Amino acid sequence: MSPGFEPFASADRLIAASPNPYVVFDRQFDIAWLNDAYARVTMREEAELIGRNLFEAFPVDPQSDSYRQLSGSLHRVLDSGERDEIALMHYPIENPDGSMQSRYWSATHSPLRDAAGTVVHILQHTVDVTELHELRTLRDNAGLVSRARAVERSSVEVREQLARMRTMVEQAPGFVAIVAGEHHRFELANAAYRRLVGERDLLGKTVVEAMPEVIDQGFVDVLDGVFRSGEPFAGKAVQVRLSNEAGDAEQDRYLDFIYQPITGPDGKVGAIFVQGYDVTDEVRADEQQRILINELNHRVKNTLAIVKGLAMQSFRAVAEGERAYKVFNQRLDALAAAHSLLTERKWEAARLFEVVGRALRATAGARIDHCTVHGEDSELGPQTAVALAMLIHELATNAIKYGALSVEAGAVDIATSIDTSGSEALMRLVWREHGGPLVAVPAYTGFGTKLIRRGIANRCSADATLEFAAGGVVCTIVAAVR
Amino acid sequence: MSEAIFNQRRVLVLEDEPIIAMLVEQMLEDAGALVDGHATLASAEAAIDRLCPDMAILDVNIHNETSYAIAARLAELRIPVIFATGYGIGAHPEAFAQIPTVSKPYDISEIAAALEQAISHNTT
Repeated sequence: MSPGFEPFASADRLIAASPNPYVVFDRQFDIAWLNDAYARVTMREEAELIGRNLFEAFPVDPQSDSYRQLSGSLHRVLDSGERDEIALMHYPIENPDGSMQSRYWSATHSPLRDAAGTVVHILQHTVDVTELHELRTLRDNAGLVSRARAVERSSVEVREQLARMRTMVEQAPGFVAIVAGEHHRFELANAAYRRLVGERDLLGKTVVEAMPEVIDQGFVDVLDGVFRSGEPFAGKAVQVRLSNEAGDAEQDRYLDFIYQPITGPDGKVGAIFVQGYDVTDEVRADEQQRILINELNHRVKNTLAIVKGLAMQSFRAVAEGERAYKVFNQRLDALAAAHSLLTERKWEAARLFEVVGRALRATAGARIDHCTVHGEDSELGPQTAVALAMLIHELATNAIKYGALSVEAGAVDIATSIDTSGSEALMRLVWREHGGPLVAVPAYTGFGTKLIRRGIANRCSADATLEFAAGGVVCTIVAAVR
Repeated sequence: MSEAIFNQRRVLVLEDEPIIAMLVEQMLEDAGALVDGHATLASAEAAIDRLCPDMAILDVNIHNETSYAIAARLAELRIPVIFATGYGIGAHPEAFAQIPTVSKPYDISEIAAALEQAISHNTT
């Protein structure tokens, strides 16, 4: 300011002398100060206004739009600490004779802070636009005033929508945050996000400042990458070690999340939208289940080993028991092989080719070179897998003893196909022996045949047929895939 | 046949389940092995120095302890060793991940194959 200006121009004197109406309210909306122009426009004396509450000095119905607009704007200033404007407001005031006069106003409310930055007063600059409004009304012109009204109406709607969106994001079950700029500064973090990081202060801080423990876990590098490349990043059940608020304890959480780059109008990444879910409970439950399945499998396998031991002790003790032991032992091995395979697949499913391949290897040993498996592969349910493994074992055992695998020139062709045309998917497997000796029907009886004849897993869609064709045994197995 | 590797060889067997121990010992003896069976970690440990086995088959879980310390001792002496377990293969700590493992229930050919792998691992 130039020195020559100073003697007659302090700021409050300037405002006091201004032809524009100014008034100052305290936090209770009591009138603390006003200038002459304000007294003139409201048709009051300064003395009768100072110290009075705004809404007592200028009473209106608390249910009216006038009250809601004015009070709403003043409260917004107190809540946000930011300037608020009313484009157009109908607010009647009393004439000196006690009658009411309809008036239209436009007003700006600015926060006034003390040294500590707290809003202690609100400065109102108001303009009486009644004349303009009436002029427009007289001309039946919906121009400025109705536009101003529309602006006011739409700004109310926008404010309400914004408030609704904020509430939605804040209360969303998943965690949400926005980090802006190349240093990933928190612009927003909802309740779930704050809970996840132990209710730390985040807004305005960078990820490195607010969550130093994640630097070495690679998350800042990933954010850098997303910011640079503009490519989103999705993590599934990613382990993250987070400190609590005090920074004295850490805990592991598992998160599903996405880092989505937000590009500005210039096409460059300006911020990253972080959104996800805490899936720690699900991960822990899966782990618990895996341990239980493992333990159960261990016990079953141990029991199978004990059954093998018992069988050896029992069969060998009786005359001619050796042969029976061998047959029993091999069947048990076939069952154990199918069990092992299913264990590796967590008892969910096993591949058809793998079931057949393992059963063949377990039974036929080196003769597996004389077996060919071809066709369509598929996942099989546990019941079908076990039944199929047992059937392949019986077929292979018989082929080794009496069929195509009993001679050097013999071979087995195994063709598979999957039929998905019906209500449930069916697997079809054809076991065809060739090059072996002529098979006599009676040689092929007993458990294996019964197992095959009874079909597989007792399902109505399942079927198995055994033919003693001239070229060798042909067995056709049809079973539900699941 | 690969079971010939057992002929006249001293095989240390550590297994705390008696019926399974009897089975594996019988299978090994049928293949011509001289079996030295143990049901506790302490007795197996003592047998290593006393009997100098040619190879060893260790159950992993022995009375709620593991046989890893014995496996380490055998590996140090370059005695071929394999694990037999009811748990899934590949569940060992890293230091023992190289040791071949057969899954229960096993037969003699699986044991022979695993031991051949251990022997070739030892000689390379």
